[in-house]
Amino acid sequence: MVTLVSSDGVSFNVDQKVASRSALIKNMMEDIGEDAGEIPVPNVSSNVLKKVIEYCTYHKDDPLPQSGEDEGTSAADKKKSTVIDDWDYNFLQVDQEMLFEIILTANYLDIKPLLDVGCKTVANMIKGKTPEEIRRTFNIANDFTPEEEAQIRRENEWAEDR
Amino acid sequence: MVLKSIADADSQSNPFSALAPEIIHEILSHLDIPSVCALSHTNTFLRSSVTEDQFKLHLTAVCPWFDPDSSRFNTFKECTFEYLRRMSGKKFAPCLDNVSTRLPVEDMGPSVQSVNGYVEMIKVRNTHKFSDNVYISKYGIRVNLGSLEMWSAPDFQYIISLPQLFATIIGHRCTQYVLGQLLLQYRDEDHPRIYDLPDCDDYRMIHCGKHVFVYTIKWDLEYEYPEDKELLLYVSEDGLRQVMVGIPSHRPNSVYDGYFFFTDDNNALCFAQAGLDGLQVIDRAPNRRRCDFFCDSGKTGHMFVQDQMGNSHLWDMARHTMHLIPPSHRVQISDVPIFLTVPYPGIDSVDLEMAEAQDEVPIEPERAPFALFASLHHLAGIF
Repeated sequence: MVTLVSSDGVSFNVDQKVASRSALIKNMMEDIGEDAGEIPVPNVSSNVLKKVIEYCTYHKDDPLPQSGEDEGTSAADKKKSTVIDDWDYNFLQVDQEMLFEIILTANYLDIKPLLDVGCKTVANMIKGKTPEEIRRTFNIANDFTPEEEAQIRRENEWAEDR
Repeated sequence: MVLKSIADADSQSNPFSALAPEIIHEILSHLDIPSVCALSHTNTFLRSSVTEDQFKLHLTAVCPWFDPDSSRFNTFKECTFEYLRRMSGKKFAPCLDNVSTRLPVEDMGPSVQSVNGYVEMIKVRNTHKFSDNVYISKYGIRVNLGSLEMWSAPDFQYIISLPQLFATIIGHRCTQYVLGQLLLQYRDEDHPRIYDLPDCDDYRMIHCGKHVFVYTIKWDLEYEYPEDKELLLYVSEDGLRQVMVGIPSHRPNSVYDGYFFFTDDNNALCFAQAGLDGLQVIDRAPNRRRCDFFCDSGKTGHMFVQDQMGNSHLWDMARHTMHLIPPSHRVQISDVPIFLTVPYPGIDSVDLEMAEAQDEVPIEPERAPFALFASLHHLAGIF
């Protein structure tokens, strides 16, 4: 077992196999040895860390992704694989702040499958939407200057009749 | 590593601003082109996050031949938005009524300096007389033609010679159809790639910049084999990719600016924007200029067009202007094999039959590039 400590001081006792889903923690455990003890996970709050551990526990027996596996994959190939399996889909039915925190944590802890499924979830929230619909979905403020707006209108001629 | 939190103040109005650029690029990699463009129009942060490289990545995946080097657009971003505009059904065929009396000689430089393509084809044909069957292209690419099954007795051959690639189709005529093999020799590869092409009645190769296409022609399609289709194939580094399932009246003769040119049943100039995703849209030139013949004039964005009155025009595809070429400088259609690259209008073609009969490499045309360039300058002065 290894103990992960969140930024707000909450400890989580986790099976080493579960913790190893994170390449970062796996490397730390290999460097420190069997007596890994407590591993601080700064900047990751307990509620986010709890969710990430839930993901790692469910996927603890999945084959680990090989390093560089994704390199060289074309945009077209990736677009074909935006399907998310049911458990992951339900797991990521969280509020937007939590979704982005999970993505940030997956990137920080180097959990590639979680980062991938998180990015796919966000991509699916963007697909097929107009700029205004995307702004509403993610609560993004339109901060364009009038000059930029004019340029965008010219670029956006293709979408006028949608 | 400091983990930026979504709860940070600057993230309140835009959750994406907390994400590292590589995460945003990962999200973008799962999006289609319309969604990437829409995202880039939401706010300044995301507009700057969708970089030129991202537009290139997405456009190249569906329409790799639409790039700044082979079009009148300066960036992949511009190409991408124009591609979307065309695919959304907007008019995109240029109006060719804008006739200019001034020949754009300042744009002719790169084209004028190109080597006559027919000379190279004769040299390739003569290669079989040498035991090693090795041909060195005009750009220095070493090609072993002996690896082609039909090389010993080709019935016909087409070539496209580019700085990074030498491509040739060798064909053998059977009783009812022709068999063809495509050989591709990339500059950075030791051995050629060879593809068996679908049997048909003839083949056509066209190119724009570094992009090469093969078209399979079936002359009797309408009458005997209506279920058969002609194919437009894109030569990619991953192999041949299907662009369009063609119909005889829409055989593309050339490509520039991301779209293919062809003449329809009424000899009207048409434009087809297609992608590797199987989507395509067709648009006709608004003034329905009738064209009997045109051919690619190289990557300078000029096209030679002849109308049904027999008048020759140089079409400046970047400016969409037509320049009347005086009869003394008209290309002789009977001399110019259609669908092969003509380096510039006005040049006399090499007499292939004569050269082959004499078993020698033909002499370059008498009208040297510089002379033509000078004559065009002279014409420009007159006008």
